[in-house]
Amino acid sequence: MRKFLLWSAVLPLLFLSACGKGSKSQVVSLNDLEFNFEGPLYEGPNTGQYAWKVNLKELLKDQYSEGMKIKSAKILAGEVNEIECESDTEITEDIEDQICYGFEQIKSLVLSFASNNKEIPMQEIALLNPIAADKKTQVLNVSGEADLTAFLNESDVYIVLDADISEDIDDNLELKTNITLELSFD
Amino acid sequence: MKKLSLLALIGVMLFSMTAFVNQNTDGDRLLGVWEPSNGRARVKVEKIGDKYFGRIVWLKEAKDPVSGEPKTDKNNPDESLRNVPLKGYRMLKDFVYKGADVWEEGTIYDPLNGNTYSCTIKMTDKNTLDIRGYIGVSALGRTDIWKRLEIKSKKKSKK
Repeated sequence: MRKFLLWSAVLPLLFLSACGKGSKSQVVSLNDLEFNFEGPLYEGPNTGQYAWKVNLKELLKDQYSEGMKIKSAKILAGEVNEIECESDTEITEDIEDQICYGFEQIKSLVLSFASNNKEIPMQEIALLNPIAADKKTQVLNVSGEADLTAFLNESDVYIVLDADISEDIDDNLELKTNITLELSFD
Repeated sequence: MKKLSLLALIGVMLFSMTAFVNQNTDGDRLLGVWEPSNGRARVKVEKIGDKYFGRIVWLKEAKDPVSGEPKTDKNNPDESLRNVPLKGYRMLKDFVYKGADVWEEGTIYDPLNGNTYSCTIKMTDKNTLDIRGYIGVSALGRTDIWKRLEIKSKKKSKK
């Protein structure tokens, strides 16, 4: 009986360790993803989209092999940056041309992944509420539970940035996002 | 005879293409701002990729009565996301247009209890939706009627 109990405990562990053998992981970054919020924008939540073509070869470089599948994917970090205002350096007669919109008009940010695949529901992955309006870079709080594995095995993913805007804005609002992911694969 | 066959082929191709385009754009009738029957929220439906999603853009009681702060998704099963503002929360997710004014395969989230239900949307007329949330099979569910809101554009000004 003891032997049976011992083996029933040891066997699953052996199985799990065998499965885990050979699994690799790599940290990858998606940098400068541009989100254009087309104005006019109303006070309240507004959505920006970035259509991401998933290219594992480009992401994993030497680690890539033909036909490979991602076994797990999670977010490690996310940040949102203001796009530098070009007219800052120029003196123009029209003072309105010099106005750029940034984090002063934003109350909170939520980052999500979505897919056209019916089997893959949208997933929120990071947020910041409230944001620090005086900073040029907003470091998001990432979800520890968000599982992005299914998205990384798709060819097209929509990265969605929701910005809660505190007042109406006449123009477009542009933000850049950096996302760091950890991918595991065989 | 050859010309006739060619014309027929072109005709079939054009018909198929038109049907495909219509299928894609007919679903866009769902876009807009909608109000549930209780009148406590307004939800804006938008398209991401080929799917339809609905965000809360207005809440009758936007602030927590105890703290006085804007309400957040405090019942979210994922603890790290409980600070997501409810105003702006995407409560309708992943709807696919099936034709005949029906959108399916989506979910509806109830922020009052943190539960997510399967959901189908049926447009009964251009300003009315039957939103049916259910668990498991559609027969075991509840239907709410949502009305379209006409949002008048307003002049905005720069700071």
